[in-house]
Amino acid sequence: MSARRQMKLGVFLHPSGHHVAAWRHPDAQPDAGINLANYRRLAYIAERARFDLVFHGDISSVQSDDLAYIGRTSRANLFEPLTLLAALSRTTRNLGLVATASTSFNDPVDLANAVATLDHLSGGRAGWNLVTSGNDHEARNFGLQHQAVHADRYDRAREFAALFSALFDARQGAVVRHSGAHFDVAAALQAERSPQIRPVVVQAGSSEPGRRLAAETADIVFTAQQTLSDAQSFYADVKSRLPLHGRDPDDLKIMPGVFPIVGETEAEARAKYELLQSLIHPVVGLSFLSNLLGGVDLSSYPLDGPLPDELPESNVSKSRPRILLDLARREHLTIRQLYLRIAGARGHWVLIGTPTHIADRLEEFFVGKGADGFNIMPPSPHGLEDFVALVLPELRRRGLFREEYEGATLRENLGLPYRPRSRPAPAAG
Amino acid sequence: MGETDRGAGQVPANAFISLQVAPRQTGAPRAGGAPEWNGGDLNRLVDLAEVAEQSGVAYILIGEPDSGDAAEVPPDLFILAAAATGATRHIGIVVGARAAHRQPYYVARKLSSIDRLGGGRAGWSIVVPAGVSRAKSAEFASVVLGLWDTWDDDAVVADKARGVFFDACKVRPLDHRGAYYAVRGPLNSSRSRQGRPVLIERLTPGDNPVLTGGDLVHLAAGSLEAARGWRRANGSRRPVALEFVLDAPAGEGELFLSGSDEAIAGRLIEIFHEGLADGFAIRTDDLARARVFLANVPGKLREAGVIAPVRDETLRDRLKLPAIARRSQAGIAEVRA
Repeated sequence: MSARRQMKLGVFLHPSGHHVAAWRHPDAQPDAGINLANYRRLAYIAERARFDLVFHGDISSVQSDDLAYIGRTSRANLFEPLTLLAALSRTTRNLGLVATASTSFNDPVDLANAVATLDHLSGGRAGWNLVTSGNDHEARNFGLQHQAVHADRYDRAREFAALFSALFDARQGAVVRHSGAHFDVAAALQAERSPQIRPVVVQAGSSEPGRRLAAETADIVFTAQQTLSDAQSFYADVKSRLPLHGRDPDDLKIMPGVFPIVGETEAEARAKYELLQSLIHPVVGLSFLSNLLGGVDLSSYPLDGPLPDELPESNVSKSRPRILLDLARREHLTIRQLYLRIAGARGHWVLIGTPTHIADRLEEFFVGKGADGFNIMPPSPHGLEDFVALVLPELRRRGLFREEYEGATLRENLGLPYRPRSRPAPAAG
Repeated sequence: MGETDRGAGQVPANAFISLQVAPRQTGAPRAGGAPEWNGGDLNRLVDLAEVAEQSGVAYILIGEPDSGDAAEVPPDLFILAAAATGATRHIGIVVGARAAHRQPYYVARKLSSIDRLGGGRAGWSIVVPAGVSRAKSAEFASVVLGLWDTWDDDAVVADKARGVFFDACKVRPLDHRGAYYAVRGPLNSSRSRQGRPVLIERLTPGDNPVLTGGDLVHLAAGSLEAARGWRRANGSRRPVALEFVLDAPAGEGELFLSGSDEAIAGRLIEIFHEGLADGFAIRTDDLARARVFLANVPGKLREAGVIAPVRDETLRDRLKLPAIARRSQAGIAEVRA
């Protein structure tokens, strides 16, 4: 009988918190996003609390041409993730360090080499979160006018991921020769075997090609799931694909993002949320709503009035505007109420309440086969401390989270096999 | 870029010393002859940065071997430099990575990130890979420099009350379209305490500079006579660090330092007093030898009043480089608003 199954927990790092207005919180440091000491503090808290990993997202551009809008968010001014995590590698010992990098513009050999360097420096704690780049702002920083269409992006991503894995799986010093539609490479990593043999690969994205890619190559999936039934069907679908690739369902950990607002009481939690919500500037809220409605300009309508009856046809997405319009009509929401509904947590799973309430919901997803763990998205400057001080003791009391790290590497703490399976784990010490 | 002639022959108040190491073959040679590295090698190099900081070295340059062999992949120097930055407080951390085969947006971001991680003490030494034209390298450098200038120094206002994080009038696209690169910008990164990383250009006496914006020259002179000639011809508009290879009889066109550490210190002091260089760039691939050098030589230079103790300042300030303010003129901002 193996030890009882426990949750895997990551911290999705964001300088002042994931709420879109967190940087305006009274306790937020103005330079939190470019302050190494702030990230050292977050990593220290995460490691002391025995989190599996910290994770940093990434986009290689300023995310909008509308600088007046993006200038009202703190998202255009961050560290580059691989360099940030390298700087944290010497002040942490057990914490996994997972950096996002896009397959759209990186070179697979360069990226594998960078991740190998981080894995060696950290003694086997590196991870790579595979994303494809979906916006034109990024494309234009890399010599292209427009982003590749979705299917082509995933085609490149699959080839990239296969090459990435092959470089780590190759016998030491052996040259990997690869010739495909996107890459033509003969290269070898010059390093000794990485401490994890193959660093942990994360896949973020829940589309059909994303699920297929995850089943083929990923060790972890980050996903956004709002309800238990959606989470369960996503979980069952992805897990069912693993045997098709010769993998055990346990070889892939599914970790939905959670945006927790914790209070000693329900009222305290609500008050924390309302404070953040009150800080959303109308320009930010409106831009957010306009983008979701396919670029409609709402600036001439009163904020505290209803959406206009007729909206111009969108050429972006037809289903999402319809869902928002139906929601607004059904609940008689004003424009302001509608953007407040969606802008704060940017579509992630929001949990507001007492430690017991939040632990109940996490346990429900975990036990009900909707998740193997969670990627915690602290909403505010003290969101991580709140989660650690209030929710973790409750999870531990229920035996759902570890007291101590199990292993030396990220792979061992996640309970993942060294891959490829035929190779033995590196000798201890 | 704000170059001012400080007058030929005029000796600055203090020199600086830098150490250049390559992470390749930092351990013992391994069977099979393949140049391999592991975590121990990397962490020894990061340790060396800490020792160099304590010894009063102005900056450590972590460089790639200039073998030009594309099949030899050294560890990722940006990652290594970032780890060294996290382990130190004051010393400059300079990345000497082959660049022009990479994406300039990524290189600009990583260097900017390392610069801000360390509070303004990063540098970039441009290495032109074999087979890449100087024109391409020059365009690459100009794109990276241009991206660093897409934010004004005072763009981030973080005004919580008004809800303005950065001033949209002080951030602008680059819109570069050249023979080799097309990059829109702006960079997704504000400027560091020193504005942007210090740019180092390595020259031999016959070279034409690749860049016009290099802050500092590493002169691989070949002989002291050649160094004197170069100095006469070029004045001292930009600070010059004279490059020496430690111990090993240098290859063609390289100066080397040999003898006891006492003798080495004496030689460097003499060269400094002649006004031949503003600083010294000491190269070695032998980390154990580097440690002995650090234990003995910088202290003697400090006692002789040749180098200053390392303080909490930006690398640009330490090297007495002119500030490189980046501010829009009010009129431009108004037009854009």
